[in-house]
Amino acid sequence: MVSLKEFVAEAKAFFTRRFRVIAEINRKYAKPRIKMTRMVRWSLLLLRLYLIILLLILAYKFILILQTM
Amino acid sequence: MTDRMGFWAKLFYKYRRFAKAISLYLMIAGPGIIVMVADNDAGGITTYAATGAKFGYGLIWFLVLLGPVAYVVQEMTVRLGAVTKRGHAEAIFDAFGSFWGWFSLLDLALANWLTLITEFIGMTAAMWIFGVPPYITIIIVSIVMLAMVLQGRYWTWEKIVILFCLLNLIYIPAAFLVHPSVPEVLAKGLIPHFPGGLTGELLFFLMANIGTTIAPWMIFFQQSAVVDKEMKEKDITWAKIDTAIGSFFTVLVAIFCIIVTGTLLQGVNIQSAAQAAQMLMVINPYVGTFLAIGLFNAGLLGAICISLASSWAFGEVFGWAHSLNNKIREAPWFYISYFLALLTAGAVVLIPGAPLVLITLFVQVIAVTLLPAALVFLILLLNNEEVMGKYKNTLAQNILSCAIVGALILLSTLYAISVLFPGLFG
Repeated sequence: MVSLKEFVAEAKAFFTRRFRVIAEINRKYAKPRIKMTRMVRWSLLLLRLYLIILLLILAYKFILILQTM
Repeated sequence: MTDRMGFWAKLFYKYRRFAKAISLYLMIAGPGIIVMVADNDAGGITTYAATGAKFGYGLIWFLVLLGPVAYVVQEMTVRLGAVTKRGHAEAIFDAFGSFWGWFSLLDLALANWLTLITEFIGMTAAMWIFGVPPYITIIIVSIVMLAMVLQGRYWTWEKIVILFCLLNLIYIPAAFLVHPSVPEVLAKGLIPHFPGGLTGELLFFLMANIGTTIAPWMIFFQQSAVVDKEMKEKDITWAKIDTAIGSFFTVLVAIFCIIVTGTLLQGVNIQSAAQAAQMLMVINPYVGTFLAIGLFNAGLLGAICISLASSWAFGEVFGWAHSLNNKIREAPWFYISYFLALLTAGAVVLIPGAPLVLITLFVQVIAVTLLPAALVFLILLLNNEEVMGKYKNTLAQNILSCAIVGALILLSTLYAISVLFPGLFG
């Protein structure tokens, strides 16, 4: 039978390993191969933000329809 | 006599060349046909059935236009996969860095998981028509899907999936059985127009139809499949033919599905393909049965491809072994992520009272909303001469693909406006 302390330690170690993997991936791909100009980077970011706003509007519509059902 | 022998020799030579070309094509064929036919997934069939019931044959012209659009997008993924020998997720991380990479990966994971839910919705609804409870359908389908990937060979998996793709053609005999008026189909279906005017509802259906014809998962799936199949640059031409044939069949099946409901159920408020199948069972049992079988098959095809697209993408980024040629011990995380996706998506379908039909239609619209982001990265990658060399995009391809991105953003914006200001569109 595993004690609560051991379980928490295991869970902590599990997530630390996962975050380490993610940190390694971020290090591996830290330098992009394609050099984007500032304008392209900002355009991409604005496009992403715009699409997220559209998604939120979709979610709003979804909730509206659910409420009328 | 010599001339006649020369004629026969030439004919035999031409036949040999043709047979060799066909066998070469058959070796390469697979990813293009599979991704395009699987594109007519459960959500797609639901969308087409609802479109036919709502607008009759009125939007067939729109689907005909979407065929070449889907080809343009998927052809780019073929080139990218064959040249870079990398999946799309890894290509984005490598080219644009981890910030954009994570954005794309999480986009894909969310969209794919939602779409996977709709596949299970379709499959359980189809089997329920034959009296099979949803949880039994989910268990059996999960076992079949796991068995298919665990057998350890990409080629075997591919050939099994192509068989399921052939079953997708069941809508063609169904359409003939309803005896549509061909002049009416041609007259109402092929002339571009907006039935009932440009309303918010029509915009929703246009977006749902686009979302079911071109989806982000298709880009990731086909590129990874091309890599897993170990295609090379010299195979690109045949892979393009494979994709073109696939896009032809995807539009063909969509049109015939619309013809079925557009003929027998026009004006009826159809909420799902399963509902359409049940109604058609009363009018014509064969047509109803074909629709139900087709819906189940569409859901199964979609589920097979979408869950793989996610597992491949995560495997590429996290560095796991991620090939269907790996056994489970060689690629445990690849298969675990595949299984987890199936388990969680199947569980959602079993939630009592979940608005399954609404989820199905909305997921198509979510997919098309997220599509411009995926397409922009695809276009940027295809324009990188350092990576693509002579296979980079031509001017014409860039103009076409940018026009597609622009049209998608415009349509999504118009729909958002129609949601916020319903009075504007009627």
